[in-house]
Formats: sequence, structure tokens, C-alpha cells
Amino acid sequence: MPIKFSHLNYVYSKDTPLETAALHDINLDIIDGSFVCLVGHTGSGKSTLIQHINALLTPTSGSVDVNGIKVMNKKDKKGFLKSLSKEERKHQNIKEIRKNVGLVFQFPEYQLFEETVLKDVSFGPKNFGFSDEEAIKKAKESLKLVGIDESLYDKSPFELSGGQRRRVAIAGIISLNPDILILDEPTAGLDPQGSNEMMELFNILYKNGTTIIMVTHDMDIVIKYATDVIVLKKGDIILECKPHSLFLNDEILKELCVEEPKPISFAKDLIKNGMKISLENVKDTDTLIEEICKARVKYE
Amino acid sequence: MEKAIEITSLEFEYEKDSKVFSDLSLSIQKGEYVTLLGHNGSGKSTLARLIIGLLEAKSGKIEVFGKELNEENIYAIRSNVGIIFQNPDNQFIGSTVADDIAFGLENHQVPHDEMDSIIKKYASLVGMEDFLDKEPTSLSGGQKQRVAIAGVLAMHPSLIIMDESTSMLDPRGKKEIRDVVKKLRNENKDLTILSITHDVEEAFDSDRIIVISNGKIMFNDVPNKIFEHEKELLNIKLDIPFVYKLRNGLKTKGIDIDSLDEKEMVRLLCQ
Ligand SMILES: Nc1ncnc2c1ncn2[C@@H]1O[C@H](COP(=O)(O)OP(=O)(O)OP(=O)(O)O)[C@@H](O)[C@H]1O
Ligand SMILES: Nc1ncnc2c1ncn2[C@@H]1O[C@H](COP(=O)(O)OP(=O)(O)OP(=O)(O)O)[C@@H](O)[C@H]1O
Ligand SMILES: [Mg+2]
Ligand SMILES: [Mg+2]
Repeated sequence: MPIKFSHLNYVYSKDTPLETAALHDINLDIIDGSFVCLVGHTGSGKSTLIQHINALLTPTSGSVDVNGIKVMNKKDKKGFLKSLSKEERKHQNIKEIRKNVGLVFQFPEYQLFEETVLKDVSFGPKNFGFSDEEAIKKAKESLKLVGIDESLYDKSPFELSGGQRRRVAIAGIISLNPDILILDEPTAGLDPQGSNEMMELFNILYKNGTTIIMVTHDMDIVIKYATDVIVLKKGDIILECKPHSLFLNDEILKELCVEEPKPISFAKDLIKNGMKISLENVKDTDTLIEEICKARVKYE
Repeated sequence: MEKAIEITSLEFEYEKDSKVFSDLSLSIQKGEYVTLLGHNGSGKSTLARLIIGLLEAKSGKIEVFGKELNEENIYAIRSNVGIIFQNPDNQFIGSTVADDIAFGLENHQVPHDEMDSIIKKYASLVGMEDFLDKEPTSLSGGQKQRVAIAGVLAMHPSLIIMDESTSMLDPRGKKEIRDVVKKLRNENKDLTILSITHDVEEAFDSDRIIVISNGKIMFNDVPNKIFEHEKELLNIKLDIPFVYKLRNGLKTKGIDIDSLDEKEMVRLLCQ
């Protein structure tokens, strides 16, 4: 399910004193099976951008094309539908997008609403036509994947800790097996082990063909998992690149105000001081250690 | 030394027979910066809510600046304590960012003509000076966290509890907030900080770290000592900072680097 943003603009509270232009002329292609990380300073427009992909927000102007279905504002969409044949129009149902695109919010509390954890996570599958029994089964599988213990199944989502809530919100979305999984800072609030496990889970989904689009401030995640990085600044896309080329270019890093992952900056210091290691191979502390060992063997 | 927080034999449960704390004791000195680390669901936010009296202990004693937490003292205690909640939306009262920061000030009898300059000062400290007229609830995640922090700092509390208050900021934004707090602590040596975070690099900056797991204190020591317990920390779902991981990892490969200073480590490795 390819995604294409064309000349998309988004303005919050248009024509009011609180008017805020959040995105300007966004043009972007996301190809199937990629693992895209969206980065950028506070308020740069990341959450606004991703909410267009499943039509939670509709563009002030321009469009997003999700597998041929156009997300547009009402007026534009009307005009667009007029230009189509009756047959083509049938394929323009936004509901199709909702079924295939799962989005986990930045604040998980805003997507939890059922009385119990288990009901909450099985709501989605039920809603998309699974029987009660199947939905419960799917919910239990997902809850297990995100590390939620059975003892919490009958609790209200509002009686959970922050990290537990985030896990339940993620379970609620992955129980739908979406083709495109959008995650807005999914590791914020998770303990270190939870964060690693969650990233490994997303990585497995990615390897099985799910497109992953993730907003994150954690550059360790970007370097380790992303196939592509998109950098936003004040509502503009200012860079699209591969993770390593982002961190290889010191000037760009400085200009973008992006902090490099610790293993990368350490590796760069080693190189500066004469050690021969290949920065391309450094993805985390373990791979950094491997590179150091290799370099020292060569040396000796 | 005077104590900011003194907790003795605390017992607490939300529901019958599932105790979050069965016998917790800890104390924090006035002027200390203490980080609370612990896995999801270990009881950190619960402890924060107990300290400001939003939850009531089943038994045990909580003292804040020498006053016992009870019905009589609760408002006096709260007027001295600022808490930044895990979800900033639980915090906003004002309809604009400026009102929200002002709200705390009004409660503290700040003269009206000083208010504007104080609001501006604290909004700029967190980089939100251009958003004073916006609604707090219609900001981005990171902007909300910044405003929540400004609102609490502006009240000049003697104790600030920060419950993952920078979880949605980038490393630089987190550092900026830490620097602001550092500056305030330099100006007021008695300012006490209790910080809850999952970021071990951030925890490294504190005077002391208390590690809890399932409602029990596992470690209570200076950061340097805490992070020497790699295995035990990993076992309770936590992590250690990069320099420790690197040093320990190299050691298992037979490379002994006796330093935790990045520059020195580079020098030793490149010899
Ligand atoms: N509901 C809203 N109403 C009005 N303005 C909004 C609303 N939500 C966001 N904004 C504004 O739009 C801009 C982009 O916000 P967005 O939430 O997309 O940022 P972000 O990149 O996700 O930031 P963060 O990293 O802090 O979450 C910000 O300036 C923000 O104040
Ligand atoms: N309102 C509530 N009612 C019942 N149980 C609760 C409530 N709030 C939290 N709990 C439970 O109490 C335990 C401790 O929760 P707490 O929120 O203190 O954890 P935490 O250490 O802050 O975790 P996190 O890192 O995920 O924020 C958890 O098992 C949680 O499910
Ligand atoms: Mg956001
Ligand atoms: Mg918590």
C-alpha cells in the first residue's frame, strides 16, 4: 500500500485567532515495506503529518494517496469524485484506509475507552468483523506480545500505569494486523527492556512486510531500525535520507539540531584518533564493540 | 540536615490484596536531586501521588519538610510542592498558556504587575514564549510538556516532582530542561528534585538514584555505584548508560579500559 503526499498543507483552526499553519507543501512518497522514521524538533509537525495517513485529519489543501484512495478535504474530494467513473468511485471509501492503516497516538490514553483491558483490545477486531471468540483470541495474542500480564486483563485501562497503558494501546492496534503501522513515539514511557522488546516486535512486523512509520526522538532507534529518515522543521520536510548518511554528515547534523547516537559519536572520535573502523557497520553498542575488536586485531 | 521527604513503613494498595507497597521507607534530603528508576508498573507514579496526598496510605508515615502528611497539613504541604504529571493534559487549568502559568502564581499571592514578567520569564526558559496566547490542550506533545514544566517552576516550589516530564522531548530538549533545573538549584540550594524517568543517561546527572522493582527498593546509591550492577538492573528490566555498556562489553572481549570518561576511553583505545 504505497503512500503519496502531494502539495499537502495543513492549518489548525483556520480563520480564527488561533490559526496555526502546521504543514507546508508536503510532498512525500513512502514505499511498501519501508521502515520510516520521522524526526524533528518539538512542534515541527510530525504528529500532524502522520494523522493524515489514516484520515484523522484531512488536508487544508492538497492530498494524501493511500493505495489509490485519496484523503482530501470535503470540497476537494467532491470535485475529485466527480472526475471518476462509477466503478472507480467505489474504491474511494475512507473506511478501507482505516482497516489497513493502524495508528497509535502519542498519548495512549486518547485511544483507550472500554471498561477493561481485554475489551479494549478486542474492540478493533470485533469492529472489523471478527467473531467475539476470534476477537478475544487476537486480543490475548497481542497483549502477550506487548508484555501485558493476564492479571491486568480485567482492569480498567485507566487503572494502569503510564507504560502499561502505552502497551495496551499498541496491542489494540496490532491486533488488527494493519498493512501500515503508524507509531507516534511508541517507546516514550516504556522501561528500557519494554522499549527494546517493542522495537523488536515492530521489526518482526516490518520483516513480515508491514510498512512502519514511526515518530521518534530516539536516534538509537533510527540508526538501528530505520530504512529511511525524514526530518521535519517548522512544518517543512527539510531532509529525506538513509539513516547512516544523516549521521555521517556533521554539517547537516548541526544544522538540523539532531543529536547523534552515542555509539556513532564515539566511533567518530575513535576514527578521528586514528582507529580504522567502518562507521557504516556501527548500529549500536554491540556492533561498536565488534568494530573495535576487528580494528585492534588488524592493528596487532 | 533537614529532610525534604521522609517515608516510613509505607503500605499502599489500590485494590484489596494487591499491594503496590508493603513496607517502603526512604528519605530525601533538602536540596538533593534524586532519580527514581523502576520498570513499568513498579509504583513510581503511585509514590509521587502519595507524597502530595492525592492518594492515601493504608499505613505508615509520610513527612514532607518535617510536616506529617495528614488532613490538617495537606494544603500547607502542597503549596510547597510542585508536581509535573506523566500526562501534561492532567495538569492544565488555564485556557491559554499564559493563564496556565499565571494560575499557580495567583495562588501564591504574586502582585499583579509582576505577573507578566514572571510568565514571560518562565515561558522563555522552556522555549514557549511565542505560544502565550495558545490553548495548552491544542499544542504538540512536547510543547505541552514544556508548558507543564514552566507552570510548576514559576510557582517556586521547594520540592519538584517530575514524573517523566520530558519523555517527549529530544535529547537536546531534555538537556535544556535539565540545565534550567540546574540553574534554579544553583540559585536556591534548598530546591529538592525528585525525578522519575526511564532515561538512564538523564538519571546519571542526579545526586542519588533509588531503584524500585515491584514496590520494593532494590538499590539506593550514587549513580556511579548503581550502574556497576549491570546484571541486576537488566534483570529488573532496566539498563545502564552507554559508557558502562561499552566498558563492560569490551571487557568480555578481553579489552580492559579502566575509565568511564568518553575522551579518556577513546585515548586508551587508540594508544
Ligand atoms: N489541536 C491543535 N490545534 C491548534 N494547533 C495545534 C494543534 N495540534 C498541534 N498544533 C500546532 O501545530 C504545530 C505542529 O504540531 P504537531 O503536534 O504536529 O508537532 P510534533 O512535531 O508532533 O511535535 P512534538 O514532538 O512536540 O509532539 C505546533 O506548533 C502545534 O502547536
Ligand atoms: N488508579 C489505579 N487503580 C488501580 N491500580 C492502579 C491504578 N494506578 C496504577 N495502578 C497499578 O499500580 C501499579 C503501579 O502503578 P504506577 O502507575 O505507580 O507505576 P509506574 O512505576 O509509574 O509505571 P510506569 O513506568 O508505567 O509509569 C501498576 O501495576 C498499576 O497497574
Ligand atoms: Mg507529536
Ligand atoms: Mg508512572
